Amino acid sequence: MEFDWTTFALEVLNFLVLVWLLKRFFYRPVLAVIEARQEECAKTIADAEAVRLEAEELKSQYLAHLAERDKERAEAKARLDKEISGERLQRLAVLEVEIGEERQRREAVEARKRSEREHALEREAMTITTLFATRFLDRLAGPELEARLADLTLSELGTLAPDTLEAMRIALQEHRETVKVTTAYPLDEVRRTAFTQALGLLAGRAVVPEFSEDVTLKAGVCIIAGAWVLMANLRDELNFFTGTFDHDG
Amino acid sequence: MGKPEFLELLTFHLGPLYIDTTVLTTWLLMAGLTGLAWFGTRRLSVVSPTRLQTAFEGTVLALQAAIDGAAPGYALRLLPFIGTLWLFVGVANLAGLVPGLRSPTGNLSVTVALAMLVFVSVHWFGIRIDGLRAYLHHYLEPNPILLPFHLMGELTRTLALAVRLFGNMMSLEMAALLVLLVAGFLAPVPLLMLHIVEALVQSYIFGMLALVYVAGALQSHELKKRSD
Amino acid sequence: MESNLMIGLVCIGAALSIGIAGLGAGIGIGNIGNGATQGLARNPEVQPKMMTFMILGMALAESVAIYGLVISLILLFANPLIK
Repeated sequence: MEFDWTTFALEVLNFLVLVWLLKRFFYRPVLAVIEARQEECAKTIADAEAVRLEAEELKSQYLAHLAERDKERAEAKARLDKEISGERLQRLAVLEVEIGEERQRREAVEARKRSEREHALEREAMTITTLFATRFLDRLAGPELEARLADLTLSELGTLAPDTLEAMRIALQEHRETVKVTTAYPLDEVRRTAFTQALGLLAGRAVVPEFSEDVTLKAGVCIIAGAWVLMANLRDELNFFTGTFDHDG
Repeated sequence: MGKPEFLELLTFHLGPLYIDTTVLTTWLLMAGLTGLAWFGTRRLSVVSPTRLQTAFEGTVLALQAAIDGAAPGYALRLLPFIGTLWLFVGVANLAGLVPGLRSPTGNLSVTVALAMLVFVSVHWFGIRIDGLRAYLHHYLEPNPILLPFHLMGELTRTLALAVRLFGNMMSLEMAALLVLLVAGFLAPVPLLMLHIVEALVQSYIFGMLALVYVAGALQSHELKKRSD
Repeated sequence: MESNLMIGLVCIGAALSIGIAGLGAGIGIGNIGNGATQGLARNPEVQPKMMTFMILGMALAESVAIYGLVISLILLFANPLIK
């Protein structure tokens, strides 16, 4: 309770000393370390910022790179597309031409095959017809038909075309001895004389034809005078029918 | 005041000076504070602080923030004085709880000494920071007629500062003693718990008032700077 | 006899000192608590800051009672007029 000057003075001194001591041992080092930490934090933040900036720069570079690459790729793709489409058009044109050619060829082949088939059919039909006719005529053949055919030949000898007549005359004149008249059945005298007269009239001189028989003729007459041959018999007519198509086809 | 004091045995005379228990206790506290500070700041590390260092940094930062709140911009200049006031008064108030010791702040001489230091430091910081002329001029604000009231206020607030701390600490100890006398052993324990709170609050108030006084002295400077 | 009267009067004075000072301090602290509670009810976010001011104000109001206590103690134990 009582106030003591000694204590007062000593306490003042004590407190000042304590202020100095704490300033020396407490505040200064602690503040220094706080400041150091803050500096370090600031430095770390600055470093991080620098790293971030660098990273961002790198990123932008990378993005620019990527964009460039993209552009290049797009350009290349466009070029390639153009090339491809051009190539495609070209190929298509070629293909179209080829297809056209192929079609034409196939059409030609088809046409040929068709015509061949038609011919074959025709020939077959003809063969069948001929066979039918042959059989029919085989049964029909006989001396009456022979006689009528000989008469027909005789009448036709007079009405032949002029160039044929000329060729016949030349052939008869060259091969005087070897005019052969072949028939399926033996000719009667009347007709033999008629042939001899007709041929002689045709040749312009007397002709003695050799008369012979050949059963294969079925019916009719075959006159051979060297290179000139007149056929008016069923065999040769039938052969002639079948042969005409071969020559025509 | 009836409490046994072991330090009484160590009191001695130094020439004309009588070194009493209060001064001895103060020295003990000073030694403790300084020793702790020295021990804690021996190996300061920026990267991996120890627990003690973290506590120290927290303490210093809290003190700095409190001072910065009252006197912005002068925290580093005021920190040693105001911070030491807080720390010393707090420790001295709490010392009364230690058996065998009495709070130095329960002695009127000590609180008057501290209040005197605050009184002087107000003028010291005012003159140091404002300049003598500007500082003295603020006594004439807003009207020279108020000068006696200013001076009276200076004295009374210093006295009030001293008596407040002394009265609180002494009355707390005395109350505990009276309860002990009236009610018996262990009865004053709740009162001692109140003592802890009161000790911390009173140390905070003491430091805060000192800070407010110093900041008030600096305020004129601040105003002048703002008007320029 | 006169001394005894003196001691009695001093005791009454000391009691009145702390009593009346305590009355004023109590009114002051009650006012502070009232204001703080109302402020807190209106604006709960400022609790930490308000707590500081409240305790500071209460301590300052209480210090008035402490002055009275000191005076009463001086009257009782260190009275310069007695003896």
